[in-house]
Amino acid sequence: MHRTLPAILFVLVALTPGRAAAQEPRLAGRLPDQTRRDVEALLDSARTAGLPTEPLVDRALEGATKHAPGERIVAAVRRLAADLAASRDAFGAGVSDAEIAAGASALRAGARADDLARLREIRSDQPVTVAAAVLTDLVALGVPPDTATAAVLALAERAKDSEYLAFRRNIERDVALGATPVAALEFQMQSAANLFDAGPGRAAGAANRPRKP
Amino acid sequence: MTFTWSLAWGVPLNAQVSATADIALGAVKYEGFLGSAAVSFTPAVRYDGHFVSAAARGNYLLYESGRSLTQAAGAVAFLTPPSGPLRGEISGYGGLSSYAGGPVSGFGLARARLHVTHGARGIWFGGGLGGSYAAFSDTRASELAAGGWMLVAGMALTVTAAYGRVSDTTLADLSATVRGTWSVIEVDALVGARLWAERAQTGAFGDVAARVWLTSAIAAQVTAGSYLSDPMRTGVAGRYVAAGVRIAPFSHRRAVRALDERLRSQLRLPTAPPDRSLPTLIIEGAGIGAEGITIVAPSADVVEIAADFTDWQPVALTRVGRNRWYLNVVLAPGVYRLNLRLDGGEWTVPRGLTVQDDEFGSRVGLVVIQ
Repeated sequence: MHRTLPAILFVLVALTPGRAAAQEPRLAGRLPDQTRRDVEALLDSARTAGLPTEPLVDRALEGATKHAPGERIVAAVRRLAADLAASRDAFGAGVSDAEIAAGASALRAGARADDLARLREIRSDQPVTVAAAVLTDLVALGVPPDTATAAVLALAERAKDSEYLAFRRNIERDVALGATPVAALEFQMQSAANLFDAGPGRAAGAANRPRKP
Repeated sequence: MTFTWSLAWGVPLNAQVSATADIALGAVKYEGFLGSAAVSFTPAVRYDGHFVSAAARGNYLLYESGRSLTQAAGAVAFLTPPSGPLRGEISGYGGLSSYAGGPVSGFGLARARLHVTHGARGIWFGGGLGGSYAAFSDTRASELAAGGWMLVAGMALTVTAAYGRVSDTTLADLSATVRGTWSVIEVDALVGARLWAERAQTGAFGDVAARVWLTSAIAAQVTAGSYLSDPMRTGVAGRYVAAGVRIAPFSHRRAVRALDERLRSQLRLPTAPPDRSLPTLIIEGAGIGAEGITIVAPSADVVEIAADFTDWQPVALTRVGRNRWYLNVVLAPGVYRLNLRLDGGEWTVPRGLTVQDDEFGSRVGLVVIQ
Protein backbone atom coordinates (compact mmCIF):
# COMPACT_ATOMS: atom_id res chain seq x y z
CA MET A 1 0.00 0.00 0.00
CA HIS A 2 2.80 2.36 0.85
CA ARG A 3 4.36 1.77 -2.53
CA THR A 4 1.10 1.75 -4.41
CA LEU A 5 -0.10 5.21 -3.44
CA PRO A 6 2.90 7.18 -4.73
CA ALA A 7 2.82 5.11 -7.89
CA ILE A 8 -0.84 5.86 -8.51
CA LEU A 9 -0.36 9.53 -7.81
CA PHE A 10 2.62 9.66 -10.11
CA VAL A 11 0.76 7.99 -12.94
CA LEU A 12 -2.21 10.31 -12.51
CA VAL A 13 0.05 13.33 -12.67
CA ALA A 14 1.91 11.94 -15.63
CA LEU A 15 -1.30 11.37 -17.55
CA THR A 16 -2.71 14.82 -16.94
CA PRO A 17 -3.43 16.32 -20.39
CA GLY A 18 -2.09 19.61 -21.61
CA ARG A 19 1.21 19.40 -19.85
CA ALA A 20 4.08 20.93 -21.76
CA ALA A 21 6.97 18.51 -21.50
CA ALA A 22 10.46 19.97 -21.35
CA GLN A 23 12.91 18.63 -23.91
CA GLU A 24 15.66 16.29 -22.74
CA PRO A 25 18.39 16.65 -25.37
CA ARG A 26 20.04 13.34 -24.58
CA LEU A 27 16.94 11.48 -25.70
CA ALA A 28 17.05 13.01 -29.14
CA GLY A 29 17.91 10.44 -31.74
CA ARG A 30 18.00 7.66 -29.18
CA LEU A 31 14.29 6.94 -28.88
CA PRO A 32 11.40 6.77 -31.34
CA ASP A 33 9.38 9.98 -31.40
CA GLN A 34 6.35 8.68 -29.52
CA THR A 35 8.51 6.95 -26.91
CA ARG A 36 10.51 10.10 -26.44
CA ARG A 37 7.35 12.16 -25.95
CA ASP A 38 6.02 9.68 -23.38
CA VAL A 39 9.31 9.62 -21.50
CA GLU A 40 9.58 13.40 -21.52
CA ALA A 41 6.08 13.63 -20.07
CA LEU A 42 7.19 11.36 -17.28
CA LEU A 43 10.31 13.44 -16.73
CA ASP A 44 8.23 16.56 -16.55
CA SER A 45 5.96 14.97 -13.96
CA ALA A 46 8.96 13.88 -11.97
CA ARG A 47 10.38 17.40 -11.97
CA THR A 48 7.04 18.74 -10.80
CA ALA A 49 7.00 16.16 -8.02
CA GLY A 50 10.53 17.10 -6.99
CA LEU A 51 12.00 13.76 -7.93
CA PRO A 52 15.44 13.25 -9.46
CA THR A 53 15.12 12.89 -13.22
CA GLU A 54 18.63 11.70 -13.98
CA PRO A 55 17.84 8.06 -13.12
CA LEU A 56 14.79 8.23 -15.38
CA VAL A 57 16.82 9.53 -18.31
CA ASP A 58 19.42 6.86 -17.66
CA ARG A 59 16.78 4.14 -17.64
CA ALA A 60 15.34 5.32 -20.94
CA LEU A 61 18.79 5.48 -22.51
CA GLU A 62 19.61 2.03 -21.18
CA GLY A 63 16.49 0.68 -22.87
CA ALA A 64 17.47 2.41 -26.08
CA THR A 65 20.97 0.94 -26.01
CA LYS A 66 19.47 -2.50 -25.45
CA HIS A 67 17.03 -2.00 -28.32
CA ALA A 68 14.00 -2.48 -26.07
CA PRO A 69 10.55 -1.76 -27.55
CA GLY A 70 9.27 1.75 -26.88
CA GLU A 71 6.38 0.66 -24.67
CA ARG A 72 8.75 -1.38 -22.55
CA ILE A 73 11.03 1.61 -22.09
CA VAL A 74 8.13 3.82 -21.08
CA ALA A 75 6.86 1.19 -18.66
CA ALA A 76 10.31 0.84 -17.07
CA VAL A 77 10.69 4.59 -16.69
CA ARG A 78 7.19 4.86 -15.22
CA ARG A 79 7.92 2.07 -12.71
CA LEU A 80 11.18 3.69 -11.71
CA ALA A 81 9.48 7.05 -11.25
CA ALA A 82 6.93 5.45 -8.96
CA ASP A 83 9.72 3.74 -7.00
CA LEU A 84 11.61 7.02 -6.71
CA ALA A 85 8.48 8.67 -5.40
CA ALA A 86 7.96 5.90 -2.88
CA SER A 87 11.61 6.04 -1.86
CA ARG A 88 11.59 9.79 -1.40
CA ASP A 89 8.40 9.58 0.66
CA ALA A 90 9.87 6.82 2.82
CA PHE A 91 13.15 8.59 3.46
CA GLY A 92 11.52 11.96 4.04
CA ALA A 93 12.86 15.44 3.55
CA GLY A 94 16.52 16.31 3.09
CA VAL A 95 17.48 13.14 1.32
CA SER A 96 19.90 13.23 -1.62
CA ASP A 97 19.15 12.10 -5.16
CA ALA A 98 21.60 9.21 -4.73
CA GLU A 99 19.77 8.06 -1.61
CA ILE A 100 16.42 8.25 -3.39
CA ALA A 101 17.79 6.19 -6.27
CA ALA A 102 19.29 3.60 -3.92
CA GLY A 103 16.02 3.40 -2.03
CA ALA A 104 14.13 2.88 -5.27
CA SER A 105 16.40 -0.06 -6.12
CA ALA A 106 15.78 -1.55 -2.69
CA LEU A 107 12.03 -1.19 -3.13
CA ARG A 108 12.23 -2.83 -6.52
CA ALA A 109 14.20 -5.68 -4.91
CA GLY A 110 11.45 -6.28 -2.37
CA ALA A 111 12.10 -3.99 0.56
CA ARG A 112 9.12 -2.19 2.03
CA ALA A 113 8.74 1.55 2.34
CA ASP A 114 8.40 1.16 6.10
CA ASP A 115 11.83 -0.51 6.18
CA LEU A 116 13.41 2.38 4.32
CA ALA A 117 11.81 4.82 6.72
CA ARG A 118 13.20 2.82 9.62
CA LEU A 119 16.66 2.77 8.01
CA ARG A 120 16.57 6.56 7.62
CA GLU A 121 15.47 6.91 11.20
CA ILE A 122 18.32 4.78 12.55
CA ARG A 123 20.98 6.36 10.32
CA SER A 124 19.70 9.86 10.63
CA ASP A 125 23.19 11.32 10.81
CA GLN A 126 24.70 9.68 7.73
CA PRO A 127 23.71 8.84 4.15
CA VAL A 128 21.73 5.67 3.58
CA THR A 129 22.87 5.14 -0.01
CA VAL A 130 25.24 2.28 0.74
CA ALA A 131 22.96 0.60 3.28
CA ALA A 132 20.07 0.61 0.81
CA ALA A 133 22.34 -0.63 -1.96
CA VAL A 134 23.60 -3.48 0.21
CA LEU A 135 20.03 -4.43 0.96
CA THR A 136 19.42 -4.62 -2.78
CA ASP A 137 22.59 -6.67 -3.19
CA LEU A 138 21.60 -9.17 -0.55
CA VAL A 139 18.25 -9.78 -2.18
CA ALA A 140 19.95 -10.16 -5.54
CA LEU A 141 22.30 -12.73 -3.99
CA GLY A 142 19.27 -14.76 -2.93
CA VAL A 143 18.58 -13.64 0.60
CA PRO A 144 14.82 -13.30 1.15
CA PRO A 145 13.86 -9.60 1.30
CA ASP A 146 12.57 -9.78 4.86
CA THR A 147 15.78 -11.42 6.07
CA ALA A 148 17.97 -9.00 4.16
CA THR A 149 16.06 -6.04 5.50
CA ALA A 150 16.32 -7.29 9.06
CA ALA A 151 20.08 -7.70 8.68
CA VAL A 152 20.63 -4.27 7.18
CA LEU A 153 18.54 -2.66 9.88
CA ALA A 154 20.36 -4.60 12.59
CA LEU A 155 23.67 -3.18 11.37
CA ALA A 156 22.34 0.30 10.74
CA GLU A 157 23.13 1.74 14.11
CA ARG A 158 26.82 0.84 14.26
CA ALA A 159 28.08 -0.11 10.82
CA LYS A 160 30.01 2.33 8.69
CA ASP A 161 29.49 2.32 4.95
CA SER A 162 32.79 0.49 4.47
CA GLU A 163 31.62 -2.18 6.88
CA TYR A 164 28.38 -2.58 5.01
CA LEU A 165 30.36 -3.16 1.82
CA ALA A 166 32.68 -5.64 3.53
CA PHE A 167 29.66 -7.40 4.99
CA ARG A 168 28.16 -7.77 1.55
CA ARG A 169 31.47 -8.89 0.03
CA ASN A 170 31.98 -11.56 2.68
CA ILE A 171 28.50 -12.94 2.13
CA GLU A 172 29.14 -13.19 -1.59
CA ARG A 173 32.40 -15.00 -0.85
CA ASP A 174 30.71 -17.51 1.44
CA VAL A 175 28.03 -18.13 -1.14
CA ALA A 176 30.77 -18.83 -3.67
CA LEU A 177 32.24 -21.36 -1.27
CA GLY A 178 28.96 -23.22 -1.14
CA ALA A 179 26.98 -21.62 1.65
CA THR A 180 23.43 -20.66 0.96
CA PRO A 181 22.82 -16.91 1.11
CA VAL A 182 20.83 -17.22 4.32
CA ALA A 183 23.54 -19.25 6.04
CA ALA A 184 26.21 -16.84 4.82
CA LEU A 185 24.18 -13.95 6.12
CA GLU A 186 23.87 -15.57 9.52
CA PHE A 187 27.63 -16.10 9.73
CA GLN A 188 28.38 -12.56 8.77
CA MET A 189 25.82 -11.20 11.17
CA GLN A 190 27.47 -13.21 13.91
CA SER A 191 30.91 -11.98 12.88
CA ALA A 192 29.69 -8.42 12.72
CA ALA A 193 28.22 -8.69 16.20
CA ASN A 194 31.52 -10.02 17.54
CA LEU A 195 33.48 -7.27 15.84
CA PHE A 196 31.21 -4.54 17.12
CA ASP A 197 31.46 -6.00 20.59
CA ALA A 198 35.24 -5.78 20.22
CA GLY A 199 35.04 -2.08 19.50
CA PRO A 200 34.35 0.15 16.53
CA GLY A 201 37.99 0.64 15.64
CA ARG A 202 38.59 -3.07 15.27
CA ALA A 203 35.37 -3.61 13.42
CA ALA A 204 36.29 -1.29 10.60
CA GLY A 205 39.65 -2.90 9.96
CA ALA A 206 38.76 -6.51 10.56
CA ALA A 207 35.67 -6.48 8.40
CA ASN A 208 37.79 -5.72 5.34
CA ARG A 209 40.35 -8.45 5.90
CA PRO A 210 39.99 -11.94 4.43
CA ARG A 211 39.05 -14.56 6.98
CA LYS A 212 39.57 -18.24 7.35
CA PRO A 213 36.99 -20.58 5.81
CA MET B 1 41.05 -32.48 0.70
CA THR B 2 39.17 -31.56 -2.38
CA PHE B 3 36.21 -33.50 -3.53
CA THR B 4 36.06 -33.79 -7.26
CA TRP B 5 35.11 -37.27 -8.09
CA SER B 6 32.70 -39.21 -10.16
CA LEU B 7 31.94 -42.67 -11.33
CA ALA B 8 31.18 -43.41 -14.89
CA TRP B 9 32.00 -46.71 -16.43
CA GLY B 10 34.04 -49.77 -16.11
CA VAL B 11 34.54 -53.25 -17.36
CA PRO B 12 35.27 -55.02 -14.12
CA LEU B 13 37.37 -58.09 -14.28
CA ASN B 14 35.51 -59.48 -11.37
CA ALA B 15 32.52 -58.21 -9.45
CA GLN B 16 33.71 -56.74 -6.19
CA VAL B 17 32.93 -54.39 -3.35
CA SER B 18 35.56 -52.06 -2.03
CA ALA B 19 35.51 -49.54 0.76
CA THR B 20 38.04 -47.01 1.97
CA ALA B 21 38.20 -44.33 4.60
CA ASP B 22 40.73 -41.50 4.41
CA ILE B 23 41.67 -39.44 7.44
CA ALA B 24 43.96 -36.50 6.83
CA LEU B 25 45.36 -33.35 8.33
CA GLY B 26 46.26 -30.61 5.94
CA ALA B 27 46.12 -27.03 4.85
CA VAL B 28 43.72 -25.42 2.42
CA LYS B 29 43.74 -22.06 0.71
CA TYR B 30 40.59 -20.97 -1.03
CA GLU B 31 40.39 -17.99 -3.31
CA GLY B 32 39.32 -15.02 -1.26
CA PHE B 33 40.04 -16.67 2.09
CA LEU B 34 43.00 -16.92 4.37
CA GLY B 35 44.76 -20.24 4.49
CA SER B 36 43.51 -22.65 7.10
CA ALA B 37 44.40 -25.95 8.65
CA ALA B 38 41.76 -28.60 8.17
CA VAL B 39 40.97 -32.14 9.17
CA SER B 40 39.17 -34.34 6.71
CA PHE B 41 37.34 -37.62 6.87
CA THR B 42 36.46 -39.25 3.57
CA PRO B 43 34.65 -42.58 3.54
CA ALA B 44 33.91 -44.23 0.20
CA VAL B 45 32.30 -47.43 -0.95
CA ARG B 46 31.83 -48.85 -4.41
CA TYR B 47 30.46 -51.90 -6.13
CA ASP B 48 31.56 -53.07 -9.53
CA GLY B 49 29.50 -55.71 -11.26
CA HIS B 50 29.43 -56.91 -14.80
CA PHE B 51 26.61 -54.63 -15.82
CA VAL B 52 26.26 -52.21 -12.94
CA SER B 53 28.73 -50.06 -11.07
CA ALA B 54 27.75 -47.92 -8.13
CA ALA B 55 29.61 -45.81 -5.67
CA ALA B 56 29.05 -43.38 -2.84
CA ARG B 57 31.44 -41.08 -1.13
CA GLY B 58 31.30 -38.62 1.72
CA ASN B 59 33.66 -35.90 2.76
CA TYR B 60 33.73 -33.97 6.00
CA LEU B 61 36.17 -31.07 6.33
CA LEU B 62 36.60 -29.34 9.66
CA TYR B 63 38.40 -26.01 9.35
CA GLU B 64 40.51 -24.20 11.87
CA SER B 65 37.67 -21.76 12.46
CA GLY B 66 35.40 -24.55 13.66
CA ARG B 67 33.26 -24.32 10.54
CA SER B 68 32.88 -27.35 8.37
CA LEU B 69 32.12 -28.47 4.86
CA THR B 70 30.08 -31.63 4.38
CA GLN B 71 29.72 -33.24 0.98
CA ALA B 72 28.26 -36.46 -0.31
CA ALA B 73 28.08 -37.83 -3.81
CA GLY B 74 26.73 -40.94 -5.45
CA ALA B 75 26.96 -42.46 -8.89
CA VAL B 76 25.56 -45.42 -10.71
CA ALA B 77 26.36 -46.71 -14.17
CA PHE B 78 24.51 -49.28 -16.23
CA LEU B 79 26.42 -51.09 -18.93
CA THR B 80 25.16 -52.86 -22.00
CA PRO B 81 26.49 -56.32 -22.82
CA PRO B 82 29.50 -56.15 -25.13
CA SER B 83 28.80 -56.17 -28.85
CA GLY B 84 32.13 -56.87 -30.37
CA PRO B 85 34.40 -54.02 -29.26
CA LEU B 86 31.40 -51.79 -28.46
CA ARG B 87 29.72 -51.23 -25.18
CA GLY B 88 27.20 -48.60 -24.14
CA GLU B 89 26.85 -46.92 -20.83
CA ILE B 90 24.17 -44.85 -19.12
CA SER B 91 25.15 -43.26 -15.86
CA GLY B 92 23.91 -40.81 -13.30
CA TYR B 93 25.96 -38.77 -10.93
CA GLY B 94 24.86 -36.39 -8.22
CA GLY B 95 25.82 -34.88 -4.92
CA LEU B 96 24.91 -32.68 -2.02
CA SER B 97 26.92 -30.10 -0.13
CA SER B 98 26.53 -27.98 2.94
CA TYR B 99 28.98 -25.41 4.26
CA ALA B 100 29.02 -24.66 7.97
CA GLY B 101 25.76 -26.37 8.67
CA GLY B 102 23.85 -24.22 6.24
CA PRO B 103 21.15 -25.43 3.91
CA VAL B 104 22.06 -28.02 1.34
CA SER B 105 22.86 -27.42 -2.31
CA GLY B 106 23.01 -30.15 -4.90
CA PHE B 107 23.85 -31.13 -8.43
CA GLY B 108 23.16 -33.96 -10.82
CA LEU B 109 24.27 -35.14 -14.22
CA ALA B 110 23.06 -37.87 -16.56
CA ARG B 111 25.49 -39.23 -19.13
CA ALA B 112 25.49 -41.55 -22.10
CA ARG B 113 28.67 -42.95 -23.59
CA LEU B 114 29.81 -45.39 -26.19
CA HIS B 115 33.01 -47.29 -25.54
CA VAL B 116 35.23 -49.01 -28.04
CA THR B 117 37.78 -51.33 -26.48
CA HIS B 118 40.65 -53.21 -27.99
CA GLY B 119 42.84 -55.22 -25.69
CA ALA B 120 44.50 -53.02 -23.14
CA ARG B 121 43.32 -49.79 -24.67
CA GLY B 122 40.11 -48.13 -25.61
CA ILE B 123 38.34 -44.95 -26.52
CA TRP B 124 34.96 -43.52 -25.67
CA PHE B 125 32.76 -40.57 -26.49
CA GLY B 126 29.48 -39.30 -25.20
CA GLY B 127 27.50 -36.49 -23.71
CA GLY B 128 25.60 -35.48 -20.65
CA LEU B 129 22.94 -33.18 -19.33
CA GLY B 130 22.44 -31.96 -15.83
CA GLY B 131 22.17 -29.07 -13.51
CA SER B 132 22.63 -27.84 -10.02
CA TYR B 133 20.66 -26.20 -7.31
CA ALA B 134 22.54 -23.75 -5.17
CA ALA B 135 20.92 -21.17 -3.00
CA PHE B 136 18.08 -19.78 -5.03
CA SER B 137 19.43 -20.30 -8.48
CA ASP B 138 19.41 -23.24 -10.82
CA THR B 139 22.15 -23.86 -13.32
CA ARG B 140 21.90 -26.11 -16.33
CA ALA B 141 24.91 -27.92 -17.70
CA SER B 142 25.72 -30.02 -20.71
CA GLU B 143 28.85 -31.69 -21.97
CA LEU B 144 30.37 -33.45 -24.91
CA ALA B 145 33.46 -35.46 -24.26
CA ALA B 146 35.77 -38.05 -25.66
CA GLY B 147 38.67 -39.91 -24.20
CA GLY B 148 41.03 -42.78 -24.40
CA TRP B 149 42.86 -45.08 -22.04
CA MET B 150 45.58 -47.61 -22.12
CA LEU B 151 47.61 -49.80 -19.86
CA VAL B 152 51.35 -49.56 -20.26
CA ALA B 153 54.24 -50.60 -18.07
CA GLY B 154 52.00 -51.31 -15.12
CA MET B 155 50.33 -47.93 -15.30
CA ALA B 156 46.87 -46.86 -16.36
CA LEU B 157 46.93 -43.76 -18.53
CA THR B 158 43.94 -41.75 -19.65
CA VAL B 159 43.36 -38.66 -21.74
CA THR B 160 40.07 -36.80 -21.85
CA ALA B 161 38.89 -33.89 -23.94
CA ALA B 162 35.69 -32.27 -22.78
CA TYR B 163 33.59 -29.46 -24.11
CA GLY B 164 31.13 -28.25 -21.53
CA ARG B 165 28.53 -25.60 -21.12
CA VAL B 166 27.43 -24.42 -17.70
CA SER B 167 24.79 -21.74 -17.79
CA ASP B 168 26.15 -19.26 -20.33
CA THR B 169 29.79 -20.31 -20.06
CA THR B 170 31.47 -22.67 -22.48
CA LEU B 171 34.77 -24.37 -21.80
CA ALA B 172 37.11 -26.90 -23.31
CA ASP B 173 39.33 -28.91 -21.01
CA LEU B 174 42.04 -31.41 -21.72
CA SER B 175 43.21 -33.63 -18.90
CA ALA B 176 45.29 -36.70 -18.35
CA THR B 177 45.67 -39.10 -15.49
CA VAL B 178 48.13 -41.73 -14.54
CA ARG B 179 47.82 -44.39 -11.93
CA GLY B 180 50.62 -46.71 -11.10
CA THR B 181 51.50 -49.27 -8.49
CA TRP B 182 55.02 -50.36 -7.72
CA SER B 183 55.32 -52.82 -4.87
CA VAL B 184 53.76 -51.05 -1.88
CA ILE B 185 53.75 -47.64 -3.52
CA GLU B 186 50.69 -46.32 -5.29
CA VAL B 187 50.44 -43.02 -7.16
CA ASP B 188 47.44 -41.24 -8.64
CA ALA B 189 47.96 -38.04 -10.56
CA LEU B 190 45.85 -35.75 -12.64
CA VAL B 191 47.01 -32.86 -14.77
CA GLY B 192 44.69 -30.74 -16.81
CA ALA B 193 44.33 -27.45 -18.56
CA ARG B 194 41.52 -25.30 -19.81
CA LEU B 195 42.74 -24.74 -23.32
CA TRP B 196 39.87 -22.64 -24.55
CA ALA B 197 37.03 -20.83 -22.92
CA GLU B 198 34.33 -18.38 -23.83
CA ARG B 199 33.63 -15.94 -21.05
CA ALA B 200 35.90 -17.94 -18.81
CA GLN B 201 39.49 -17.92 -17.77
CA THR B 202 41.88 -20.56 -18.90
CA GLY B 203 44.23 -22.24 -16.48
CA ALA B 204 45.83 -25.39 -15.23
CA PHE B 205 44.67 -27.76 -12.54
CA GLY B 206 45.90 -30.97 -11.08
CA ASP B 207 46.34 -33.16 -8.09
CA VAL B 208 48.51 -35.98 -6.92
CA ALA B 209 48.14 -38.63 -4.26
CA ALA B 210 50.95 -40.94 -3.21
CA ARG B 211 50.41 -43.89 -0.89
CA VAL B 212 52.66 -46.36 0.84
CA TRP B 213 50.83 -49.46 1.99
CA LEU B 214 52.01 -50.29 5.48
CA THR B 215 49.79 -53.35 5.75
CA SER B 216 47.32 -54.91 3.37
CA ALA B 217 44.65 -52.56 4.68
CA ILE B 218 46.41 -49.41 5.87
CA ALA B 219 48.38 -46.90 3.83
CA ALA B 220 50.08 -43.65 4.67
CA GLN B 221 49.33 -41.05 2.02
CA VAL B 222 50.11 -37.51 1.05
CA THR B 223 47.95 -35.49 -1.31
CA ALA B 224 48.21 -32.09 -2.90
CA GLY B 225 46.37 -30.28 -5.58
CA SER B 226 45.13 -27.14 -7.15
CA TYR B 227 41.74 -26.79 -8.70
CA LEU B 228 39.59 -24.19 -10.36
CA SER B 229 36.17 -23.11 -9.26
CA ASP B 230 33.37 -25.52 -9.87
CA PRO B 231 30.05 -24.28 -11.20
CA MET B 232 28.14 -27.46 -10.53
CA ARG B 233 29.11 -27.57 -6.90
CA THR B 234 29.47 -23.81 -6.48
CA GLY B 235 32.92 -24.24 -4.98
CA VAL B 236 35.65 -21.65 -5.15
CA ALA B 237 39.11 -22.24 -6.53
CA GLY B 238 41.67 -23.51 -4.08
CA ARG B 239 44.85 -25.36 -3.25
CA TYR B 240 45.48 -28.00 -0.65
CA VAL B 241 48.12 -30.25 0.80
CA ALA B 242 47.44 -33.00 3.29
CA ALA B 243 48.89 -36.07 4.92
CA GLY B 244 47.04 -38.92 6.50
CA VAL B 245 46.07 -42.54 6.29
CA ARG B 246 43.87 -44.64 4.06
CA ILE B 247 42.09 -47.57 5.62
CA ALA B 248 40.91 -50.15 3.11
CA PRO B 249 39.42 -53.13 4.88
CA PHE B 250 38.56 -55.04 1.73
CA SER B 251 39.75 -53.27 -1.36
CA HIS B 252 42.05 -54.74 -3.98
CA ARG B 253 44.65 -52.10 -3.80
CA ARG B 254 47.48 -53.44 -5.86
CA ALA B 255 45.79 -54.42 -9.05
CA VAL B 256 45.69 -51.77 -11.71
CA ARG B 257 42.51 -52.93 -13.26
CA ALA B 258 41.58 -52.30 -16.84
CA LEU B 259 39.24 -49.50 -15.91
CA ASP B 260 39.61 -48.55 -12.32
CA GLU B 261 38.40 -45.66 -10.28
CA ARG B 262 40.55 -43.18 -12.13
CA LEU B 263 39.48 -44.44 -15.47
CA ARG B 264 35.89 -44.07 -14.45
CA SER B 265 36.20 -40.50 -13.39
CA GLN B 266 37.65 -38.76 -16.32
CA LEU B 267 35.12 -36.22 -17.35
CA ARG B 268 35.30 -33.46 -14.88
CA LEU B 269 32.74 -30.84 -15.62
CA PRO B 270 33.99 -27.48 -16.65
CA THR B 271 35.37 -26.05 -13.51
CA ALA B 272 34.96 -22.32 -13.68
CA PRO B 273 31.63 -20.95 -12.51
CA PRO B 274 29.98 -18.34 -14.65
CA ASP B 275 30.44 -15.55 -12.18
CA ARG B 276 34.17 -16.19 -11.99
CA SER B 277 34.57 -16.43 -15.68
CA LEU B 278 33.20 -13.01 -16.35
CA PRO B 279 35.31 -9.90 -16.57
CA THR B 280 36.21 -8.39 -13.25
CA LEU B 281 35.54 -4.76 -12.52
CA ILE B 282 37.86 -2.81 -10.27
CA ILE B 283 36.93 0.62 -9.02
CA GLU B 284 39.89 2.93 -8.60
CA GLY B 285 39.23 4.67 -5.31
CA ALA B 286 39.51 8.40 -4.83
CA GLY B 287 38.72 8.69 -1.16
CA ILE B 288 35.25 9.89 -1.96
CA GLY B 289 33.79 8.72 -5.21
CA ALA B 290 35.87 7.03 -7.88
CA GLU B 291 38.26 8.15 -10.55
CA GLY B 292 38.66 5.26 -12.87
CA ILE B 293 37.45 1.81 -13.72
CA THR B 294 39.68 -1.11 -14.58
CA ILE B 295 38.32 -4.22 -16.22
CA VAL B 296 40.20 -7.50 -16.16
CA ALA B 297 38.95 -9.38 -19.19
CA PRO B 298 40.85 -12.38 -20.48
CA SER B 299 40.68 -13.29 -24.13
CA ALA B 300 39.10 -10.04 -25.26
CA ASP B 301 40.21 -7.70 -28.00
CA VAL B 302 37.61 -4.99 -27.43
CA VAL B 303 35.96 -4.13 -24.12
CA GLU B 304 33.09 -1.65 -24.07
CA ILE B 305 31.08 -0.31 -21.21
CA ALA B 306 27.61 1.22 -21.24
CA ALA B 307 26.40 2.70 -18.01
CA ASP B 308 24.49 5.44 -16.32
CA PHE B 309 27.68 7.49 -16.40
CA THR B 310 28.11 7.11 -20.15
CA ASP B 311 24.49 7.99 -20.92
CA TRP B 312 24.31 4.36 -21.98
CA GLN B 313 26.44 5.01 -25.00
CA PRO B 314 28.96 2.20 -25.53
CA VAL B 315 32.43 3.49 -24.66
CA ALA B 316 35.52 1.49 -25.50
CA LEU B 317 38.04 1.07 -22.72
CA THR B 318 41.74 1.59 -23.24
CA ARG B 319 44.00 -1.43 -23.04
CA VAL B 320 46.59 -0.88 -20.33
CA GLY B 321 48.15 -4.31 -20.01
CA ARG B 322 47.62 -7.97 -20.55
CA ASN B 323 43.93 -8.61 -19.98
CA ARG B 324 43.51 -5.18 -18.39
CA TRP B 325 41.39 -2.32 -19.67
CA TYR B 326 40.88 1.12 -18.25
CA LEU B 327 38.28 3.88 -18.38
CA ASN B 328 39.10 7.27 -16.95
CA VAL B 329 35.87 8.45 -15.37
CA VAL B 330 35.06 10.44 -12.26
CA LEU B 331 32.09 9.12 -10.33
CA ALA B 332 30.35 10.75 -7.42
CA PRO B 333 29.11 8.52 -4.59
CA GLY B 334 25.96 6.71 -5.59
CA VAL B 335 24.57 3.60 -7.22
CA TYR B 336 25.19 3.07 -10.93
CA ARG B 337 23.91 0.54 -13.42
CA LEU B 338 26.28 -0.79 -16.05
CA ASN B 339 26.92 -3.51 -18.59
CA LEU B 340 30.04 -4.69 -20.39
CA ARG B 341 30.45 -6.02 -23.87
CA LEU B 342 33.41 -8.07 -25.02
CA ASP B 343 34.31 -8.15 -28.69
CA GLY B 344 30.89 -6.88 -29.72
CA GLY B 345 29.05 -9.76 -28.05
CA GLU B 346 26.12 -9.68 -25.67
CA TRP B 347 25.90 -7.11 -22.93
CA THR B 348 26.91 -8.80 -19.72
CA VAL B 349 27.55 -8.05 -16.06
CA PRO B 350 31.11 -8.10 -14.75
CA ARG B 351 31.99 -10.26 -11.83
CA GLY B 352 31.52 -8.80 -8.39
CA LEU B 353 28.53 -6.65 -9.18
CA THR B 354 25.00 -7.21 -8.07
CA VAL B 355 22.98 -8.59 -10.94
CA GLN B 356 19.44 -7.41 -11.49
CA ASP B 357 16.76 -7.91 -14.07
CA ASP B 358 17.09 -4.81 -16.22
CA GLU B 359 13.37 -4.81 -17.18
CA PHE B 360 14.40 -4.98 -20.83
CA GLY B 361 14.74 -8.73 -21.01
CA SER B 362 18.35 -8.89 -19.92
CA ARG B 363 20.52 -8.27 -16.87
CA VAL B 364 22.30 -5.26 -15.52
CA GLY B 365 24.95 -4.82 -12.84
CA LEU B 366 24.76 -2.43 -9.94
CA VAL B 367 27.88 -0.83 -8.53
CA VAL B 368 27.98 1.21 -5.36
CA ILE B 369 30.45 4.07 -5.22
CA GLN B 370 31.18 5.11 -1.69
